[in-house]
Amino acid sequence: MTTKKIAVRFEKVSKIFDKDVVAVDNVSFSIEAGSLVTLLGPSGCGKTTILRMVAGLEFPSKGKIFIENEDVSLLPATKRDVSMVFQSYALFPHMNVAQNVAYGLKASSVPKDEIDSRTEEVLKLVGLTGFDKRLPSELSGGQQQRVAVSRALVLKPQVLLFDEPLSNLDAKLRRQVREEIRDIQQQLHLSVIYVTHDQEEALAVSDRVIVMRNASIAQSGTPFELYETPNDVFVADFIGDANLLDINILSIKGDLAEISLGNNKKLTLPHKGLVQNKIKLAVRPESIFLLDQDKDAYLQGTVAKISYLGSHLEYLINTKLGQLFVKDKNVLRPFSAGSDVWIGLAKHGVSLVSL
Amino acid sequence: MNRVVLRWMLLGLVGYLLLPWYVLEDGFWGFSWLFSGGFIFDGGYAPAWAQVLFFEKSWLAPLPLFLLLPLAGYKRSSSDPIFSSSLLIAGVGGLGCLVIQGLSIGIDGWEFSFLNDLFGPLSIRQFGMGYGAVAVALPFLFFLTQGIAARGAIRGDVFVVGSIGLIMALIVTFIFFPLSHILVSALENEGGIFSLWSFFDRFASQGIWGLKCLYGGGRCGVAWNSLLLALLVGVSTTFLGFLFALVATRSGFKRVRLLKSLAVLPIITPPFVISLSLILLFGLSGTVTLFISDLLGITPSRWLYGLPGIWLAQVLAYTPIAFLVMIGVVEGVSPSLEEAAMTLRAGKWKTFIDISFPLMRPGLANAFLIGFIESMADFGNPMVLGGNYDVLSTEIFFSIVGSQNDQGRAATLAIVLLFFTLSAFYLQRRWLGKKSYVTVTGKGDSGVHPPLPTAIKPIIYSITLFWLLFTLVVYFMILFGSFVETWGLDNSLTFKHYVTAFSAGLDQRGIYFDGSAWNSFFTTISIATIAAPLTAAIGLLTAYLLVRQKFRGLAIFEFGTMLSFAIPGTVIGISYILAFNVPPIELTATGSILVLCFIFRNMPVGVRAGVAAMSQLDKNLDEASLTLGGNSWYSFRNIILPLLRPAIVAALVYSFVRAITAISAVIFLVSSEYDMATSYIIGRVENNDYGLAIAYSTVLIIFMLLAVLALQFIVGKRNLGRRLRR
Amino acid sequence: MKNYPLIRYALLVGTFFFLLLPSNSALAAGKLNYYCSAQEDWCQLMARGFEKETGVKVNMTRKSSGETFAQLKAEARNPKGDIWWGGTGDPHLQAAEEGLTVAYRSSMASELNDWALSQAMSADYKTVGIYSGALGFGYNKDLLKKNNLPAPACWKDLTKSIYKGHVQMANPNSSGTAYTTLATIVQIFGEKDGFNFMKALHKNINNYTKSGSAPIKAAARGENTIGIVFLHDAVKQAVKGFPIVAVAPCEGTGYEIGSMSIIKGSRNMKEAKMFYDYALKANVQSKALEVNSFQVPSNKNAKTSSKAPKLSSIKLIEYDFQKYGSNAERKRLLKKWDADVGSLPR
Repeated sequence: MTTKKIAVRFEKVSKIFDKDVVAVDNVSFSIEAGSLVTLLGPSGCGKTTILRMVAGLEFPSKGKIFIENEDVSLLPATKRDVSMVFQSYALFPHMNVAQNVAYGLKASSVPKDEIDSRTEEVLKLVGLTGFDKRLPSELSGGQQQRVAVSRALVLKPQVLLFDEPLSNLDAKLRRQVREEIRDIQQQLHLSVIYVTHDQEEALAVSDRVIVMRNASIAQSGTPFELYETPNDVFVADFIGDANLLDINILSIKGDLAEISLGNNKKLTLPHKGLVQNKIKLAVRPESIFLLDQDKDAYLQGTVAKISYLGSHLEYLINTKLGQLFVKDKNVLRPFSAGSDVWIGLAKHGVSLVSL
Repeated sequence: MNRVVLRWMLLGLVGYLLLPWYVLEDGFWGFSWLFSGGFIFDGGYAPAWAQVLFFEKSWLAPLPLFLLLPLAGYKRSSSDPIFSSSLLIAGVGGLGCLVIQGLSIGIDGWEFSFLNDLFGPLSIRQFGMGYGAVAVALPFLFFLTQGIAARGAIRGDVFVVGSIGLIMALIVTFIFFPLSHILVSALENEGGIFSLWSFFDRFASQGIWGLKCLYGGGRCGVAWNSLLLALLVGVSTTFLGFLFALVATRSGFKRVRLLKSLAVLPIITPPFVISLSLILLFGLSGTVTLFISDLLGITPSRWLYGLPGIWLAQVLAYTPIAFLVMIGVVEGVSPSLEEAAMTLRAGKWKTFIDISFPLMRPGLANAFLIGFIESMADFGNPMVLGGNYDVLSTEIFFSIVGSQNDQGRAATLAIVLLFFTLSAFYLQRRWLGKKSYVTVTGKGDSGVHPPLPTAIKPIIYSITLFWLLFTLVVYFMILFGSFVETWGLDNSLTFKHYVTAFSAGLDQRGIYFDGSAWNSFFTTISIATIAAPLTAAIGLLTAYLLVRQKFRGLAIFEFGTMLSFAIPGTVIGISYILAFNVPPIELTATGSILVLCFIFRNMPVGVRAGVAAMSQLDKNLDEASLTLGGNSWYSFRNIILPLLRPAIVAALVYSFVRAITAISAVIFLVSSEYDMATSYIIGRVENNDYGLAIAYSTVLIIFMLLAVLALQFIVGKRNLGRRLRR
Repeated sequence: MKNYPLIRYALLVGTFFFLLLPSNSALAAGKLNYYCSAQEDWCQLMARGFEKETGVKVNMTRKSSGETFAQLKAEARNPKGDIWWGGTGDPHLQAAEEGLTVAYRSSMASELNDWALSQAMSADYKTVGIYSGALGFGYNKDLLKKNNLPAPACWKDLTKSIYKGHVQMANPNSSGTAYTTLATIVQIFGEKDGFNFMKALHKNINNYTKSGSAPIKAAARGENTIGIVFLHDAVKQAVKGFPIVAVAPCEGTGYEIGSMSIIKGSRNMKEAKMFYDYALKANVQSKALEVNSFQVPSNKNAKTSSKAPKLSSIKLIEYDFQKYGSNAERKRLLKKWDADVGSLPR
């Protein structure tokens, strides 16, 4: 990989609140310029704190933060070239759209006509031309969201931060807006850090995803890496759905381990240095084929429940390794509840993870 | 090193080199020194450097050293340790220098005897600090806070650290410093020598803690009297306020706005006016008394003078405040909670007892606390109606102005009073605990409050209606009393009192005011007008720091800002006189001391209003502003202040009104040039001129009413059509 | 930032010349800070009259004598006032004793009554009498009639049980008037019998007020029947039209001397002395009648009101100002009163 410019770098950063609440624990990562990186994790995992430290709204207790190779650990928010889109949008209710967007430019004493032209330009970019005299309370949720984005964009920051920007939108709008955000990011080659707890959203928009757990990084990688080869049970379960099965390692050859699910059909997968007692097999629900015969099957089970979801069918299958959750695209040939099925596995979406 | 530091340094240099160092005899606004030219060579007006060179004030010599020290950080970035250290040393050193010299060298040489022993007597004296000293002190304070900020405190925010520093400095100077004087005098014996024994001796006296009234006659100590009164008033006002709030919100009563505006009346009433009106009604020769004694043949009694009278006056005065506190809470209880309870098969009565009432607890606690403290600190009503029932606030006053003139006793009583009020604060906090009572959420809450249970409806109605009528009668008496020749003796109507007080006319030179009240009226208005915006500004800034910033010492900071609320005016007045009559800060007999007294006495209300309003503002708003490149001062000005408009009005109105109606602190601080309305009125009351006193009070009430309405009108209109929350 | 070199230069040069200008120290001449402890209109009358006659600007503060004394004490190390006019003599004597005021022998001394001179002498001329008023009591004749009570004439009458709940006096701890009463009683009856009298009186008192003249004001408004006060205060209420009758007790009575002192450390000493002389003039003291002040003026030649109680018709005792004005004696008597009288049940 060529040495790309690094936009943001964390060096062993910790943040401790009230002397003993560790919000971020010894976290290091770097973010390439022009990429969109998502911080993903359950609530309380420290992802928002990291974002706020990038913004300068919190200072690290330990460690250093660099933006474009400048140490900004103790630089106040005002002096950082970073903009943020808040979860609540934080639009100034007493200012109209244009005033909201122009606010940052005014604060940094940009000349009047430049303010006007840049405001106009950015409102056009997000498709809000003509709304400039409206108050935030007179806009819909999606429009408010776009004002928030344009207010951050207009400053052309080195780094743009999003704190769960879509959580206040309904499902359809969410998909549309996230595409727009991704488009604008690509178009303007922005460096973006994006916080969300919605794994689907994370996979959809990101160049890279950093999964957080309990104040530290659980795993980082491209959406594909994370989904296909999660490191541990937590990541496997948090990103997408996963069936976690107890298995036995039969033998190890180099990087690969040979395992069995109980019958004599064997499965060979990278073992990532894991050992028997700290290992599980993670299987994505769509990586399971339901077969009506024993051939090529790894396991046998009984259909406990079946639900029809339009695009696919969802099954719960009782097996001796526990209950399996299966998504089957083949809606024309449903297995009926109570019938025996055999379990086959796809080439992807199956990996060994640590406990 | 940046421009801002340079600018402050320049101010310091101007202060040191050009401005008169010491306070001017002809007052703060006396600019005669300016026009007198060569003031540098006049010991009274000379700036600091000339004081050092020509007037032997050698202790002022090191100041420029500290003033110029930040130059060491010239062209260095703010994260450079040399930058921050040079600022820190300059700030600490400079302030230290100023404070030490100010406190140790005074109007007749050394202030402390050990200095005399150490260095021998000092023949040079110095007066209080003036423009020059202030202009030098401010940069030092700025250096210090900027230095702390550069060290990374509070995210390196210069504005926030600076504000904290400024407010801390103000609180220390204008609250802790004067209070320390009174505490010191509590610990001194009559000869002015420190003695713990004399404190305990005074403290343990029968006059304070005696319980003779419980057994075998005799009088109880003032402490118990005050406590009993305050408890009764607290409970009664809370109860009545609660009933009014219930009527206003849960009975289909439509005129809530009218009720609310009526409730403002007692707040804008000068103290003791209610007492006067009660005397005219229920005194030995009062209208009602005579009517009843004629009707029923009962011998009139002096029941009004004592506990019942003070209680009645205070309950009349403070019930509306309790109502205003309660109505917010009673309204705030989310109807859906009550509806939820009712769908769970709880009856109206059970819902009320189990759900609504517990949720109103914070309101009850607040209303009680306010009633309790107001009663403890009230001076006007016990003064007029006290009779033989002595309470702490009047005892403090008379320990000082009485023929005993015992400062130590006053200070001891003040400590007892302070102990009570602070305990009340503490207990309130304990009782409320950490339970969350927030029921107002961002989500729309469309339910309707259930009406009152039918069983208690008539009772509540009759009590509130009776009390409302009673209050109106009392106010009618005030108005009526001002138009009567001599109450009770000659009931013919007259404008005489208004003419005496407020006559004015037009002659060839223009309008002239020759009524006897004009002088104090104009003084009062101008002092209140100056004090109100400053009070609101400092109060809201403090609220911003309390709500939005986290820093070490936050608790002490909050305590300091709330302290003056718990201290009765009498104590403040005395302590201000003691502290600010001598260098380093000389303020007595000026208008400034009144302004300062009002600012720091009324600041807690501004703080409370600000805290309440600011807690409702999404914190992300100011963070958004920060990340958009507006520094915290810019954000405070452009985002927080505009959104806090209602709180600003509340703080402005309250501090304006309080400055006009204050009495207990003011009575010590008024001077020849600056006489206040209330102190003038009390003089008229002392002189049996009830007519004039009441006429003047009526004018004040109407004036304040108009002022409040005007303020609300101006600001209320601007807020139309703008929702505060997203 | 834009540069205006010319303007800067002009400012610099201007400042330089300005600093070199000769000092003009003859600032604000003729100013007097006047503390007044008499009634408001009398205070005003004195202030405006003095201003008119001398052109000196008078800043007046009106406070009771106790409050003013407290203020003098608080301000002792940095006095703000120049002259203290009016109010009962005791705090003036106390102030003299504590060195808060300075001695001044006015050229007007020859025109003064003996009682005024002897008081001045006892204080080493640190204070001087400007008026005097005898102690006594007043009653509301309407209320007396309503309650079918006889009119009291002597101190002893006030201790009769028929007057139970009808008498008011001020608390000697807070009021100079009441302290004068206590000292007077002690001087008339002797200390032992005096305190017995106070104990008997205590049973009849309905309220010890804070301020000295409050009892008669309450009586005037019909809130009280008999008030022990200075006679001129009682007369004043009667003149105002209230049904008040002033009584000079048959056993004789004490009196106060309203006094005037120059405050030590006065910043306008010249004007203070001018005021001092002015206040002792006969024509100035005569003007007190304009504001219904019924005290006896200290200048022999000043006019007295016909309504004022004649000092000659009153049996005045030899009041020992030096003894009973001293701090020690005052503290002792007050303490004794507190212990033996004030704390008794009624």
